[in-house]
Amino acid sequence: MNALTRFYLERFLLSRRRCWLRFDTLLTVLGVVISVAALIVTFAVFRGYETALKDAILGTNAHAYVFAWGEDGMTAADVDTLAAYFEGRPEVAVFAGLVSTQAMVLRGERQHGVMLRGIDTEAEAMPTRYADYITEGRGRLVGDGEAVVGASLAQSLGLSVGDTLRVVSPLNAKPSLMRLFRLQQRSFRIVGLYRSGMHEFDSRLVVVTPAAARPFMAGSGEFTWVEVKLRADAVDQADLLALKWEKDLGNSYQVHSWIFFNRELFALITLEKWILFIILSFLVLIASFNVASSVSTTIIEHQREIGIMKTFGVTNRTLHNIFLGRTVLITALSVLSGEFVGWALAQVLTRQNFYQLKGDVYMLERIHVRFDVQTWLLVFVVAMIIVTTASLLPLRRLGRLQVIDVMRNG
Amino acid sequence: MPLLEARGLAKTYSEGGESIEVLRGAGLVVEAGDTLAIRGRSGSGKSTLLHMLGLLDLPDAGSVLYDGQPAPTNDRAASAFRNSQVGFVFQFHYLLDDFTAEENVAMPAILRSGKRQRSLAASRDLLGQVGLGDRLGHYPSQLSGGEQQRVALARALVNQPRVVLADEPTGNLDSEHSAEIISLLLDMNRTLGQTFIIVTHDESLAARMKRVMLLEGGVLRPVGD
Repeated sequence: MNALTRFYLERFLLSRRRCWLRFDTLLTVLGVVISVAALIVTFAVFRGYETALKDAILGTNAHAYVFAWGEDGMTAADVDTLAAYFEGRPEVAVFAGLVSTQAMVLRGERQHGVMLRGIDTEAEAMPTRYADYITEGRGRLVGDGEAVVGASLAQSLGLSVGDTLRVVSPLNAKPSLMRLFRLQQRSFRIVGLYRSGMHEFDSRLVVVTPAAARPFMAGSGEFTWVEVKLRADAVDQADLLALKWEKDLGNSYQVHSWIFFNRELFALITLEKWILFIILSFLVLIASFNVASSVSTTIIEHQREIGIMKTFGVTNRTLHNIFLGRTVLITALSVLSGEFVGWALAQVLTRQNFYQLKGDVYMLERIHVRFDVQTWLLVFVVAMIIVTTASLLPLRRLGRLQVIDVMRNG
Repeated sequence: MPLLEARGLAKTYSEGGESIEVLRGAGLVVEAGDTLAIRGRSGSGKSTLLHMLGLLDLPDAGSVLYDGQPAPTNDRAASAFRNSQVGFVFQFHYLLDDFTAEENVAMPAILRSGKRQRSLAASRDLLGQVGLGDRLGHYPSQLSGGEQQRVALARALVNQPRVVLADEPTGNLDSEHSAEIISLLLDMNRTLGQTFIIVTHDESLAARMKRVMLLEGGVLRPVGD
């Protein structure tokens, strides 16, 4: 870029006359702003959903699960064997045995299927962020008669802290004297409510002590599985570690990672995100046609200017750079404005109460957005490439302009 | 050696399937410091000739020589040559609307030297010489017709070109402003020794040039002495 091009563009942008703030230019700018805003807000919502879902999954679940073969679950000896293996491993932060089973809760005529979890809430550290999600009451269970319940579950059953919850399970039913099967059942006092933002947990989780949950298990084991929490830098290698551990443990246990359970889900989200990005990029492409048309009009309007610049020695290349520079400057301002508008829209989306996600469909109940440098850059670069490329075609007209015709026509 | 020489320039335009032969072997020789008026009827090819002398257009036949050397023909070299050696003034001022008088005049100098401040200083100096020292920050739309043309003249002169090609420079001005511009041109010729080739219908302007040529039938011939 030579000195004249820099001078021209600087004056073009900063001149008191603000010649680029013309009505037709502003309309063109508006097209780019809206399309970029749509693109960035959609991408940010998908990034936000992806991140929030991963965060919720990793918060409510452990990073890896170890199962014993068969249906009886794990014995205390199994847990001790695994403890000996995991104890010194640098990638492992916490591990714990856990009881998990299906049950029903009853409240008058209403009944609801639940995940009954027996968790040692008095442990120093836990494999999930259980304690972070207690929104009311307390998470620590002092006795076997206490329970923490998912907030949505409590709401749907009309329960709150201090109420009693009856848990029933047919899995471990025992025959009675009358040769009728007696259901396993017990009442718990609710001491806390749990809200993670993950619908599956908030609407189905009932946490009790392991001792209280054990009678509801179908098998003879003492634990259903062992949960492992990894250190932050190893979370994304969970599937590789699971394979390694399984091999190290002589294939006596099955080890599955959070990635194994959610791979298809995240692949689907990623696919949807990119398909939408490509589709919405077409909006920018359409806006770029306006820009190309605007460039074409500008060249026609500035024919005299172009002609006189040629007479004092401006080459076709410099003219090309000047007009390309004008387009790039306006486009860059438009794209940045579009990104800002998109960001503002996203803030409205996250704060509004008119529309919430259906938790049973989307797993999360709130709209999350995420902006990061990559998102800003990606949208900026893609929009700039599309619009600038579209404007190159009318710029070819510059080389064909004959000064003599321009000057003769006055 | 003459500063500028045109040999056998020919140019034919096609319009609506019809060929119009504008120049048929026009030739001229111009010495440094000369002032030459070219006259002719409308459509006789005066502007075409001027554009060829200023390397804005290429002849179908013939050649243009500066200092005895063929003038460059490719866009890059011809543009650099125009920037340093040739100044243009037209009937209409053709100033850039979004730039001030000072900036308009500085542009050819910025292109040549790459030095913005030095070029703006030269522009201010030249605008002072043409009597517009108090109009530096004015936009073309804020200037009168005569002032606009004086700015255009200053722009043509800012790089101190050896030859100034003017196409009806007073054609759009009233008699008072015409007289101003003619005086300025002749002053520049006297003080800076610049060569002026002026295409004009204005007989009073032509009469004040050292030489007059008539373009007729596509060829140039001298008028008077």
